Amino acid sequence: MKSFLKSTAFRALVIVVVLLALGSVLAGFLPSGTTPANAVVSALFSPLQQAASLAAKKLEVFQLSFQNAAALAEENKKLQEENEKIKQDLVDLDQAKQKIALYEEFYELKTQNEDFKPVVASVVGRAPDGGFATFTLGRGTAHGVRVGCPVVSGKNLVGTVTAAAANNCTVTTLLSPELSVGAYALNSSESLYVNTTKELAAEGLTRAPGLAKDSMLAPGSVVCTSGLSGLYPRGLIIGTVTELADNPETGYVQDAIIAPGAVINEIRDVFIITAFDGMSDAP
Amino acid sequence: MRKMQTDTTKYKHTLAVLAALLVLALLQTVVGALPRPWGATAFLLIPAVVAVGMAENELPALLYGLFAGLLWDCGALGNNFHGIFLCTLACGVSAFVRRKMFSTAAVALLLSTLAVFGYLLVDWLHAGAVMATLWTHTLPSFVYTLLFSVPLYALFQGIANRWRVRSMMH
Repeated sequence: MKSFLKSTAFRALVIVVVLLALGSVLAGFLPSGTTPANAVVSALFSPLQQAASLAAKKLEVFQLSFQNAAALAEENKKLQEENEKIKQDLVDLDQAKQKIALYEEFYELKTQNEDFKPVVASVVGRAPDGGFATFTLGRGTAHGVRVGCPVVSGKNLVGTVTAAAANNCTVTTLLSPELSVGAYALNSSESLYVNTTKELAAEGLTRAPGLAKDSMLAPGSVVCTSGLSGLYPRGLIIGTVTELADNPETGYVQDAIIAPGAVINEIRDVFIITAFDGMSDAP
Repeated sequence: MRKMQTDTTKYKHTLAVLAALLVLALLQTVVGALPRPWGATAFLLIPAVVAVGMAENELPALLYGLFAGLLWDCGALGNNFHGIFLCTLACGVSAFVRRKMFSTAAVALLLSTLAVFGYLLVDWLHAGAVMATLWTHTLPSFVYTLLFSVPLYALFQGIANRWRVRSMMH
C-alpha cells in the first residue's frame, strides 16, 4: 500500500478531500448555505431529478396498481360473497313477501269463515311429468290432513287432497282433467261445474262446460265454489271467465273458459282446510 | 487513426459509467423511484462506487466516486460528506483490489458489506443512535442495499469489459 500513498491518485484524493472539506466549511459562511460544488452539480442534476420524480410518480401509480392486485382479488372475492348473500336475502325477502300476501288473503278468508281450520303447507314436489295437475305438500295425516280436504291459496281454490300419508299428501289441482268442482257464477248465481281438458290444462286454463246459449256468464265473470257437495266450502274463488267458446262436442251449448284465480304453476305455499261447516265426511 | 479509436472508446466508456452513476443517483434520490420494503432505502451509490473502484484504476475511480458523491450531496445542500466518502471509497477500493485482492463478485459483496455497514453505522450514530430506527430503517436498508451489490458489480465490469478500458490504460 506504500506505493499507493506515493501515487498521483493518493495525492489527488487528498486534494479533493481537502477541497470538499473546505467547501463544506465555506458553505457555512455563504448566504446560499451551499457548497460551490453542490451549487454546480445541483444546477445540472436538479432538472433531471424533477423529471425523474415526475416519471416516478407515474410509475408509482402503476406499482400501486400492481401491488394492489392481490388485495383487489381478495376484495373482489369478499364482494362476490356479499353479493351472493344479498341475492339469498332477496330470495328470502321475496318468499317472505309471498307468504305475507298469502296469510293476509287467508286472514280475510278466515275472518269471513270462522269455521275454517287451516293447515299451512309448502309444495315439496311436483308431478313426475312436470305438469301442474298434481303436486305434493309437506303435510299429512299427522297434521289433520285427509283425502278430500280442499286446498286454497288465499281465497282461491287450488284443488283437493287426493292422497294422504303421515307427513305428506298429494293434491289434485284444478288443472287436472280428473277433478270436477261444483260452482256458481257470482254475477248470475247460475249453477255450473268446472273441470279442464288436457289441452286447456296445458295452457293453465279450466272450463265450465255445457252452458246454455242464453247463459249470463261473460268474460270477467267470477266463478266460485258452490259448496253443495260438501267437498268444498261455498264461496272459494275458482277463477275468472276469459272467453266463451262453442262446445266442440255438442255445438248447441258453449263452454266458459276460466283462468284459475290461483296461479297454480307458481304456488309455493298453500292452506289445507281440514274442517269447515258442512264438510262431507266422505272422501 | 488508432489513437482516435482509442479516444472514442475512452469517451464511450466514461460516458457509460457517468450515465450509469447518474441513473443510479436518480433511482436512489428520487422519491418513489424504487420501492421501499419495510421502510428500507437502497443506497445504490455505495455498492456502485465499490464496483467502479474494482473495475477502474485509482485516479478514474476517484473522479467517478467524486461525481457520484456530489450527485448524492445534491439532496443535502450544505456539506460534501458523500462526496468525500464516495471518492475516498472508490479510490481506496481500487488501490486495494489492484494490490491485495482479485476482482470477483464475492469480493465486491464483501467490500460493499463493509462500506454499507460503515456508512449506515455513521448515519445511525449521527441520527442519535435511536434503537427503533435500527430495526425499522438501518438494518432493512443494509440488507436491501446489499441485494444490489452483485448486479452492480456485473454492470460496471460489463462496462469496463465492453470498452476494454483496463487493458488500454495499463
